[in-house]
Amino acid sequence: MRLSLRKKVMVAVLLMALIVAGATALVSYNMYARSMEEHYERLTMNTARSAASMVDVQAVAELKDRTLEIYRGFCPDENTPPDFEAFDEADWDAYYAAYDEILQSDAYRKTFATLNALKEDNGVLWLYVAYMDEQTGQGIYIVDADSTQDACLPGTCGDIEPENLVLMEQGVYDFPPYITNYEEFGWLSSAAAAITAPDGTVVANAFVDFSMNQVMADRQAFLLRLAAVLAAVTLVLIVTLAYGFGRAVVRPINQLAKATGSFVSDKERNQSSSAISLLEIRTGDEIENLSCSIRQMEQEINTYIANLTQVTAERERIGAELDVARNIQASMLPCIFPPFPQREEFSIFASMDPAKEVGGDFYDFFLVDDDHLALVMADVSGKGVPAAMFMVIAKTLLKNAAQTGASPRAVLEKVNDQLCENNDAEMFVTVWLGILEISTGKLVCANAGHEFPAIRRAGGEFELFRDKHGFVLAGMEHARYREYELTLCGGDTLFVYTDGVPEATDSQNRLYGTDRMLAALNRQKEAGCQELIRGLRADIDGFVGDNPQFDDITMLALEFKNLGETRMRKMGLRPDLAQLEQATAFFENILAEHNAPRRVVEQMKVVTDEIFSNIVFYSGATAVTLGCEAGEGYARLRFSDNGRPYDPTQKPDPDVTLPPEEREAGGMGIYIVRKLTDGLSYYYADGLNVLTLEKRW
Amino acid sequence: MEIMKESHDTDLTLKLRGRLDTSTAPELEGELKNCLEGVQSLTLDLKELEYISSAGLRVLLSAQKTMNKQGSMVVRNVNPIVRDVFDITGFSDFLTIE
Repeated sequence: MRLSLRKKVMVAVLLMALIVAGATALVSYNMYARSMEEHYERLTMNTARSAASMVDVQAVAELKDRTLEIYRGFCPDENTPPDFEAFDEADWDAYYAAYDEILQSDAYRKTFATLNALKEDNGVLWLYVAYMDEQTGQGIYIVDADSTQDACLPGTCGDIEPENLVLMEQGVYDFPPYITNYEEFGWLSSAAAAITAPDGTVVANAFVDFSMNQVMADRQAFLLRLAAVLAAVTLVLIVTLAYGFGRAVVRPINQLAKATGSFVSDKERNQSSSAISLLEIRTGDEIENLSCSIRQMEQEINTYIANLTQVTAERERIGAELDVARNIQASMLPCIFPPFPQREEFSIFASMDPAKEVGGDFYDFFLVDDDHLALVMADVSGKGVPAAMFMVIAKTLLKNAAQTGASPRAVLEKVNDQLCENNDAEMFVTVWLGILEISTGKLVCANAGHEFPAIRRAGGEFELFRDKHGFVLAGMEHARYREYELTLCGGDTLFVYTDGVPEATDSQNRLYGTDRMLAALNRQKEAGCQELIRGLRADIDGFVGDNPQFDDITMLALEFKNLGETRMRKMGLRPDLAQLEQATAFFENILAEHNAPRRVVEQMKVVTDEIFSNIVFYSGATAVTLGCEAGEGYARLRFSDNGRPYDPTQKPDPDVTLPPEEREAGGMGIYIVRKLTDGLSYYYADGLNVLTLEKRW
Repeated sequence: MEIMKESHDTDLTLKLRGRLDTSTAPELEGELKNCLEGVQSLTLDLKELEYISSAGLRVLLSAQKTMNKQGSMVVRNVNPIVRDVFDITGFSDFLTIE
């Protein structure tokens, strides 16, 4: 049950008031009752003493002697009272009749008058003189100052109270006052005083009974009045407190509660002044302190929110930038597969999954020229943005160096020195670099601290090729690297990867390892590059389970296709007229081998001259690759250069009917080529112009 | 390529041996520039020419244009390969081929 503060205070006050009032009433009532009792006891005693002193002792003594004499007459012996139990009506009449003479005596009348006057004057209920007969244990009435029918006649007896007997044995005949409540008589205050003869003997006792019924009724009234006053006081107290407490405590607290409750909605509505700042609590006590604290807290929260907003915005901005960075990084890696749709000689697939938004792993592959494919697999130390930035540098330098046509060893040495130059972050990168001569399958590789490549020979299993490692790139200036040569044959597959593959970890901290990797590769060795890598990735994921990936996982697979005899022979040349003769000789030899007629050979020389010279003069190329494939009655000639894209097949035919005066100097070359061959096709891909000619004979 | 020159007054005969291609055409072009002065009859003997490419055609065209102004030009002993090229390019139509 929820109780408001005001109700709680009121209940507490009420309880306290009840306790205080109860205690007050108890004490007051007790004190009042006590003093009234004392007063009545004193009054009773004094009246008894007055009665004892006012009566004529001689008369009382005379009456007593006479009464006792008659009384004794009824007693069986001197120590036994008369057997009143056995009295019948007649006995009683006889008994009282025996005392009639006393009623008639002067002494009785005189004493009665004295006592009766005293009784009437003092409002005494009963006033009588009795003799305490120790011998029979009876108190015997002598004179009762009562003028009503109920008066006790002389000789009326009653047992002496045991307390009084004890007092009498001690020689005390003044019986101290005591208060009784009999159903028959109501509240009585009773006392007795001894009537003493001049010689000191106790003649009789004067008994006084005051009725205390009125007093007792007064006492109830007093209690009621007291309760009423206390209730009124309590009511006033509660009302005052409720009002005062409400003003001083509840209202300011409610104001505080309302203001703090609307804190957020105020902020959302962008109000310039919040409800808290508008609070005017001037109670001068703890509540004002609380109000001040809350106001201060609001300012601090506002400052904190502003800071947090700024930090959050900053974090979001960084997150967005990281996202862009990831896209940039992803787009830096060749990611369109198949990357070389025109190339039938090989197929390639690669993937890179960074552990964080951006990673330090990378793969790369690109055609150095028409006959050379460079393959790069690398892993930059560390992860995240620093690794990614270093990766960009390393990748760019590696590609630039490889595209000059340098050997893998030379590329690594050059890039190592370049990376070492400003490597303040002391990062490094492991690299496996291979350059494949597509026409022959010759693969020249160098390894700078990278994982062993895996090779599968046609029809065989994947196995690690344990090559000789050089030192990592950017680790040490002027490091030397070794290169080695492999020959890929048709159907062979090469697989390279980063340490994210063997070091993938499951929940029991076990490493995936190269054994599992090779087993997974061999389970689907015929599947083709893409399926191979997807399958391995699925196997790694299955092994790792719910464990988070904590290193980049990067893989590249290359399948060297089995093309049989139709594989083109190739020759790389500088675009220089001095190389023209070599170019024509290259084709001449192949054509001669296939018994091409003399005329065809010469025509192809003309064609070679036209195309080669065009490349030399107009393309801006830095490398030319010739390709030639010949068979029974046909040959296919291929010219590839890395110059400006130019499609000679789109060139319109010149007008060959013009007289010499109207002819331009050039423009005949391509036309001659078209006329001397049986087919001409062109494509531009991977930075290379590729022109293929067909010739049949 | 070798160029053999035989000159009689205003007659000039050039015998060409080897290939007249991009790399050798400038040689012939230079030769013609130097010695066509005052020549009225130019004979090009292509008996020992292996083949000709468009660069060579350019030089022949240039020579033909010059000789059209100052005399005549004859091309002699054209082998089938060179002939093919002349035919393809329409040079056969204006060259005097013997």
